[in-house]
Amino acid sequence: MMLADEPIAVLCIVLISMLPLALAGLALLNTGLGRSRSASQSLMGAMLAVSVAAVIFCVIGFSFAGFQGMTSYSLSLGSARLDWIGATGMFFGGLHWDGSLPGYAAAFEVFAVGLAAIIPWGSGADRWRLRAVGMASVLIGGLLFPLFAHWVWGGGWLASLGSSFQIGAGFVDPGGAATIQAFGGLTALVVVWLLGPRSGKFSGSSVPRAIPGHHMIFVLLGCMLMLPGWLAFNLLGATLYAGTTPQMLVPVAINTLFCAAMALMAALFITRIRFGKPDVSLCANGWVAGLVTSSAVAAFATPAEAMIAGTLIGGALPWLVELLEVHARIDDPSGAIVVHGFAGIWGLFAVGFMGSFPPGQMLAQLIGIGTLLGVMLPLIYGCFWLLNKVFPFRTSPEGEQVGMDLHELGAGAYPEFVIYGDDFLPR
Amino acid sequence: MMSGMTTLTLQIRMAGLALLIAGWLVLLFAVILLASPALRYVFVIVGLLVELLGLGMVGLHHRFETGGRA
Repeated sequence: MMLADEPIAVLCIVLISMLPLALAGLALLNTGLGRSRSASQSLMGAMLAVSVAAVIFCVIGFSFAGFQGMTSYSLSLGSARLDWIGATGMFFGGLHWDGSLPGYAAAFEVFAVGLAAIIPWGSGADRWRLRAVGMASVLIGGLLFPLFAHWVWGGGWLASLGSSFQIGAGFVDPGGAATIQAFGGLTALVVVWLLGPRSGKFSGSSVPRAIPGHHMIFVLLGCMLMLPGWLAFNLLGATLYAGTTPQMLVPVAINTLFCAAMALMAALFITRIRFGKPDVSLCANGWVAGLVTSSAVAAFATPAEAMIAGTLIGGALPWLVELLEVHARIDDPSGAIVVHGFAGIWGLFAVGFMGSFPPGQMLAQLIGIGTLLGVMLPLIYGCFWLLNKVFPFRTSPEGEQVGMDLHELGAGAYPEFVIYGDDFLPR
Repeated sequence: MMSGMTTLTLQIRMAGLALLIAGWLVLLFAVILLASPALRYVFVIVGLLVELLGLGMVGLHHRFETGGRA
C-alpha cells in the first residue's frame, strides 16, 4: 500500500477532524426546516442514523467498499472485467494503520456514510419513526452505500472505465457528489414516496399548503457550519481519490466557497424577483445545493467554472422545489431531493465539461449518473419497500398530531414555551 | 373502479422500476459491446432516456397515491 508522506498525513488528520461539522450542520438544517413539535426527535434521529451507519460500516460495510488495490470480486464478460464488490475482512480487516492511504479513506468513508444516512432523515421529518430510521441506517451503512462506494472510490468498475474501456479517466467523484449526495438524495426520494406527505399538506386543495420550518436560526447556522465540513470533504476527497497534492488544494477550497456563494446569490435573486422578498429557506437550500455541486466540480473546475455551476443550480433550485411539490405532489420538508439529489447529479454532469481529462469524460460521467438511476434507485426502492413492510416507516396519525417529540421521546424540545397553536395548519 | 385504478398504478410502478433497470442495461451493454465512441454516446443517452421514463412512471404511481390525478 502507498504510504502518505508526513505533510499529507497531517493534512488528512486535520481534515478528518473537520468532517463532523458537515454532519452537524445538516442535522441542524433538517431540524430547523421541520416542525417545532418534532425538533428533539429530528436531532436525536440524526445522531442515531450517524451512529448506526458508522458502526455497521465498520463491522461489514468497509469489507464491501474496500480501496483501490485491495481484494475484490470481479465479473469477466469476454475481455471486459467488471470489479463489482470489495472482499476484505470485517471490522476494517485488511487495513494496516501505518499511515497508508486506505486507512485515511476508511476514516473518510465512516463520516461519509453518516452524512449519507442523515440526508433522507430530513425528508421524512415529522412522520418517520426512529426505529425505522435505525433499520434504514443499517441497510445504508451495511450494503447500499458500500456497494456504490466500491464502484466509485474502491477501484470498482465505474472508477476503472478509463483503464478498462478507454472512456475518459473513468467516473470521477472525489468529493462524494454521487457516493454521498446523489445517493442520499435518491434515498430521500424513496423515503418520501414510501412515507407519503405530512397530514394536511395536500388535503382539500389542489395547491399544497405551506408548512414553514420552525427555526430559521438553526437553518442558517447549519449552513454556516456546513462550509468547513464541506471543505474537509472536498479537500480530503481530492487528496485520497483524485491524487491532488497539498499545493494544488487551494483552488479546491476556493471553488467550494465560490460554488456555494453564487448558488446562494442566484437563489436570493430569483426568490426576490418571484416573491418580492428573498425566501430564507430557499436561499439556505441554494447555499447547500452549491456546496453539493462543489463536491463534484471543485477538484477540476476553474474558479469561473465553479461560479457558473453554482449560479445555475442556485437559480434553478426554487423552480425545481416548486415542480416537485406542486406537480409531483412530493412533500420534502428539507428539500433534500433537489438539494442533494439533483444538485449532485448536476455537478457530476458539469464535470464532463471541465478539467483536462482524456477523451470521453462526459460519457464516463453519464454512465455514472445512469448507474445511480438505473441500479441504485431500484435497489434502494426494493430494500426500503421490504423494510417498510417489516418495520413500518410512518408513525400513527395520533403521533403525527401530537408531534414526534411527545409521541416517541415523551417530552418536547421546548417545554417552557407555547410555540405551536397548530403550526400554521387548520385542523 | 378504485381497485382497478390501484391495480393500474401498481402496474405502472412495476413497469417504471423495470424501465429503470432496462435503461441501465442498455448503457452497460453499450459500453461493453460497442467500440465506437459515437455509438456509445447514442446508446448511453438512449439508456438514460429510458431511465427517465421509468422514473416518471414510478413518480406517477406515487402521485396517484397521494391523491393527485394519475
